[in-house]
Amino acid sequence: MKKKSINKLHCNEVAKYVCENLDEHLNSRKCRAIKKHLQTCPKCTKQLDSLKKTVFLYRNCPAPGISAQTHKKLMAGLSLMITRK
Amino acid sequence: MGLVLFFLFLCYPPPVSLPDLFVSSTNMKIEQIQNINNESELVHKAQKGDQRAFSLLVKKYESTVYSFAYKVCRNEEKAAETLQDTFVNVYRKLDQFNGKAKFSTWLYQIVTNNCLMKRRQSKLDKSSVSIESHGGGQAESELQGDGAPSQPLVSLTQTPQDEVVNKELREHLDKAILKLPMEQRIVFILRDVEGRSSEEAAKILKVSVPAVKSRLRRARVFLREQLQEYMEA
Repeated sequence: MKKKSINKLHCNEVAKYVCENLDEHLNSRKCRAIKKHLQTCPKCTKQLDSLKKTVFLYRNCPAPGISAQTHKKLMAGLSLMITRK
Repeated sequence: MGLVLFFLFLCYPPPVSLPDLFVSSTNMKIEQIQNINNESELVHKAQKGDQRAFSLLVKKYESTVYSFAYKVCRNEEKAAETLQDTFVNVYRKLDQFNGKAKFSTWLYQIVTNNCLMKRRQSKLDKSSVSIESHGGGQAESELQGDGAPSQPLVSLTQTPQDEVVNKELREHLDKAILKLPMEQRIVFILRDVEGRSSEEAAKILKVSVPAVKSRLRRARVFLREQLQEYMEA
């Protein structure tokens, strides 16, 4: 029981660390320990994978480009502001 | 008489009006703009009142600003308004830019402030309210009755069916991110979507790096929970 709670705490710590430092290029002692943990813990590995997928989806979700109308409106607005100044 | 008019025309050629100058310079090809490697010189010229330099800066960064604003607001109209407000502020505050940070960092500060201001002005973000009032139910109804998404997470080959899935997925992504508090949303977009470092995000938001990481962690965990059903597909 005690072992389980310690293990759970460790997983929580891993989850917190991974959520804060995903995509960071770290090579600290703690980072290495967490990488080692991830190799042996399927639960944390699954959490990490779902986190990566979440980021991947947002990173690859296309945003519309600026339309010709929006560009024209921007330029016209700025021109007007500059001439009035 | 004709000769006099011709003489007057030679002596007083019509000046190039500022708007013409401004618009014509924006017709430069993107390659030409990207070739301007000395950005600080361009900024310096714009600070001295060179309208052409300013218009080149606008042309160079308008897509970045619009795209970022769209990713934060998830709304084209709001993104266009933010774009306009941002460059008006850039023009007005250009002399305050001291060159200590990158110009893009300073620009992100302005667009971020505009996004936050827009949120404060409207007080109620209609999208957030409507989603929260539905408790995400609409998004859930788009999934199968058993809660599992009917389609693969990411389609590798595009079919008409996939297009529908992608549209649904995009709507789901929009709804989830709009539920995030603006501060967390901006950090998530800066770090995970735009690929800015934690240090730069901290500079943009004028908060500490640990504060950025804390907001980022909360945002990532929240979004992952919101997309849980897609994760298990």
